[in-house]
Amino acid sequence: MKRTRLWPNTWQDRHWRFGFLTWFARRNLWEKRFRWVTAASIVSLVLVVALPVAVSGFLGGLDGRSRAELARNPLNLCLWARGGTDVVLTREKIVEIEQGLARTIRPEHLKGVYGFDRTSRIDFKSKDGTSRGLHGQTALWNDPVLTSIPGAEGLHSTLNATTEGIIITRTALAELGFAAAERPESLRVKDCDCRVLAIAEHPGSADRDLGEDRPLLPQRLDYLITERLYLHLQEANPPYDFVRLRPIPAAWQKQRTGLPPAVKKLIQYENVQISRDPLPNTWDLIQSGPQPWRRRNWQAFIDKFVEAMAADGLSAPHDQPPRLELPETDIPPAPAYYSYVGVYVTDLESLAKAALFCRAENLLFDDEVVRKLDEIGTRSREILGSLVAIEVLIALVAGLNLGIIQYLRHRQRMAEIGMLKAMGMSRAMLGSLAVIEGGMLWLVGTGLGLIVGCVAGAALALAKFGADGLVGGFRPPWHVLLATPIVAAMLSIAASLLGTAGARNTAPSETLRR
Amino acid sequence: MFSVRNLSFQYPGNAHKALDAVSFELPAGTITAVLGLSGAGKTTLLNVLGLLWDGPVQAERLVYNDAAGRTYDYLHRGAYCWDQVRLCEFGFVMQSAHMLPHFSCGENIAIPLALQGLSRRERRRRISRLLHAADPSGELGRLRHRLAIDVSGGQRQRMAVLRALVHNPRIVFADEPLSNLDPLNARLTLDLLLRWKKDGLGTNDNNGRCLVFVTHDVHLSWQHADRFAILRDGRLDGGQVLSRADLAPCGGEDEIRRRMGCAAEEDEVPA
Repeated sequence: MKRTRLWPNTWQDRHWRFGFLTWFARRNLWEKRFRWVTAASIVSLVLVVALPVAVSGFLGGLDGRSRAELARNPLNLCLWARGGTDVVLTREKIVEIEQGLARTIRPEHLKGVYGFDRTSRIDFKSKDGTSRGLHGQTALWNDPVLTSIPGAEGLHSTLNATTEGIIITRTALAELGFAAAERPESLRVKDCDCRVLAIAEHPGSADRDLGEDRPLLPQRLDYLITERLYLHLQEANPPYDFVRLRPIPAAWQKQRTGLPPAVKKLIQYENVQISRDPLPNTWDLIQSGPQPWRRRNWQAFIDKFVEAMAADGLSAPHDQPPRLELPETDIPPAPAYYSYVGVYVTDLESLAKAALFCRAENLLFDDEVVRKLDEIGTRSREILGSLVAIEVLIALVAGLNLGIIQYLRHRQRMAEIGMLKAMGMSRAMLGSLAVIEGGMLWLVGTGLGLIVGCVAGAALALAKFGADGLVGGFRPPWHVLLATPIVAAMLSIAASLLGTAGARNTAPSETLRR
Repeated sequence: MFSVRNLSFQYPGNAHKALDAVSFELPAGTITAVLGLSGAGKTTLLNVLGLLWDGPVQAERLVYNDAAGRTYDYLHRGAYCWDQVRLCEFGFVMQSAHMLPHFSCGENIAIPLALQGLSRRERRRRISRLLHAADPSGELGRLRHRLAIDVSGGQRQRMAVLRALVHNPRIVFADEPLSNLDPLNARLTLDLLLRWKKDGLGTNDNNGRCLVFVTHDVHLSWQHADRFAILRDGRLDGGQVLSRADLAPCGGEDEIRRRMGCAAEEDEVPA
C-alpha cells in the first residue's frame, strides 16, 4: 500500500537528507561523551584492516627474499630431472599457450611433434578459428613471455601437427655453427631433416649462458633442450677437428707451400692449417679455432677457398672439383647442462607446482630435494594457517567489540533517539544515520589501518629479510587490499545498524520512558 | 481536530487497560488539560494522540483533521507517513528536555526545521525571530550558541519548548512540562507555551493552535485551560472532555479534584 506523503521524496530531498545526516553523524561521533568510544571503534577497525595487510606484506617479503635468492643463485632452487623428453613445458607455459590460441588441436594432432609428446593433455587452439582436419592442422602463436622483453624477437612459429619439429634455443644453434641472425628452416636429426618449429631467443639469458664456467639457465625460458635431442643433433652435425680435401688439382699441388696472398689471408683468418695427407692428391685441413667446426662450417670454408684460388687463376677443374671428405668421428659427450631437463621456477609456489608436475610425469629427481620441499611446504602451510587463524580470530574479536561498543553507545542515546523520532525523524533516516556513522568510522579506520598495516608489514619484512624483503617495493596482494576494507565496511555498518536496531524499532514513547 | 470514539488501549503483556472506551471531540484553538492521578492513563492518552506509540490501538473512530482539511485515520497506520505528520503538525514537550547535549541550544531548536529540509540560512532566520519573540530581553538569545549540556535545567526546558514550537505546529503535546522545574522557571516555561497559544510567538497566523498538556496541578489547569480531560482508571470521568461551563457551577477546582479522586484537603499533588 502506498503511503500518503506530505511532500514528495525528490532528489533534492534525498541530497539534503544526506548532507544533514552526514553533519549529524559527524557531531554524534565526536561528541565529548563518546569520544573514547569512537576512538575504540576506530582502533578495532584499524586492527581488522592492518593485521592482514601487515601479514601479507610480511609474506611478500618472504617472496621477495626467495626471488632475490633465485636471482643470485638460480641453480640452488631449481628442480632437476634426467631427460626423458625432448622439451618440457611448465604448467604456466601450457596455460599461456592455451589462453593465447583460439581453436582446439586435439592431442593426437601433436603426436610425434617434439616438445609435445608429453603434453598430450593440452588442447591447443588455433588463431584463425578454422579447422583443417587431422592433417595439416596449424596453429600460429606468439610467445607471450619472450615478446614482452624489449628488443626480443620473440617466438613466432607455425606448428604443423603432421610434421615433426623441434624447438631449439639460440644458444644451441650457435653451438651448431649458426650465426646469430640465421633462422634455419630445418635441422638434421638422426637421418631426417627436422623442421625447426621455434627458436627460443632470450638475449638476457642465452648470451649469458655462453662462456660461463657453470652455465646458467635462461630465467624465463620454459623449455630446454634435453640430452636426447642434443645427441640426435650432435649425431647429425658432429664437430670435426680436421677434414680431407680431394682430389687436389695438379695446379694446386705445386702451390701448397706458396699459396696466393688472398688464400693465405683466408686460412690465417679462419685458423686453418693445410698439410699433406699420406693419400695421393689429398690435403688435410686442420682448424684450431675456439669452437670445433661442423660439416656446414667446413663446407663454407671450402667454397670460399675454391673461390679465392680461382680468383688467382687456379680454378678447379669442373669435371673433378675438390670435395670435402669427413673422417669418422665419435660423438663428443654432451655438456653438463644439456644432460638435464630443467623446470625453472621463480618462487616457492611454482616450485611446489613444478615438483607435482615432475612427479606426475615420472621424472627423476633428487629425493633429498623432494623431502626438503615437502618440509618447507608443510611448515609454510602450518605457519600460514596459524597466521590466518589468528587474523580471523582478531577480526572476530574486533568485530564483536565494535558491535558491543556501538550497542552500548546507542543504548545510552536511547532517549535522544526517541526524541528525534518524536520530532519526526523516520526509521529510514535513523537507519541512514547509523549507516553514515558506520561509514565514517570505516573511512577513518580503514585509512589508518591500511597505513599502519603497510608500514608494519614493510618494517617486519625489512627487519626479517633485510633489503631483499622489499624487492620490487612493498606490494601486499591486491585481494587482501580489496577484501579487508570490504570486511571492515561490513563489520562497521552491521555494528552500527545492529546497535541502533533496538532504538529504531522501539516506539518513541517507550524509548523516552526508559 | 481530534475525533475519538471508544478508544481502548492496553500495553502488551498487561491485563489492565490503560485507556478504556475513551470518547471525545477536541476542537481547534483550545487548551486542554489532561488530569488524573498517577496511572490514570494521562501519558498514554497523549502518546496515542501524538502518535508516539507504534502498536495497534482499538477504537471505533480515531481521526485527526489537519488545517488543510486532510483527515488522518489512526486506525490505518500503514496508509500515512506518520513521521511526517509528527514533524509538521505536532510538537512535544516532555518532563525532561531531552536535548541533544553535544549540539548547541540553537542547533537543538533547529532540528525540526532541519528535518523539514529548510536551509541553514532560513533556520537561522527563524530561530533568531523566535528567540526574540520568546524573550525580548535577549536572555535566551545569548544561550543560543552554548551547548545544551552547559545551560541550566530551566533554560533547557524553555529551549525544549521553543524546539517544540519552532516549526509552528498545530498541536503541542506537553507531558508535565513543569514538573521538574522551580517555580520561577515553571512560570517562564508556562508563559512561553501560553504566549505561543495566544499569538504563535509572533507568527500571528490563525491555524487553530491547540495545546494539550498533562498536569497534576489543578489550580494551574483551572487558571489556563478551557477544556478538561479527567481520567480515572483509564476512563474519562463523565464520559467526555469537560468545559469550564460544566465544572464552574459545581465548584471548579474542587469539582476537578473530586472527579480525579483526590480529597479536597489533599490539594495539590506535588509536582
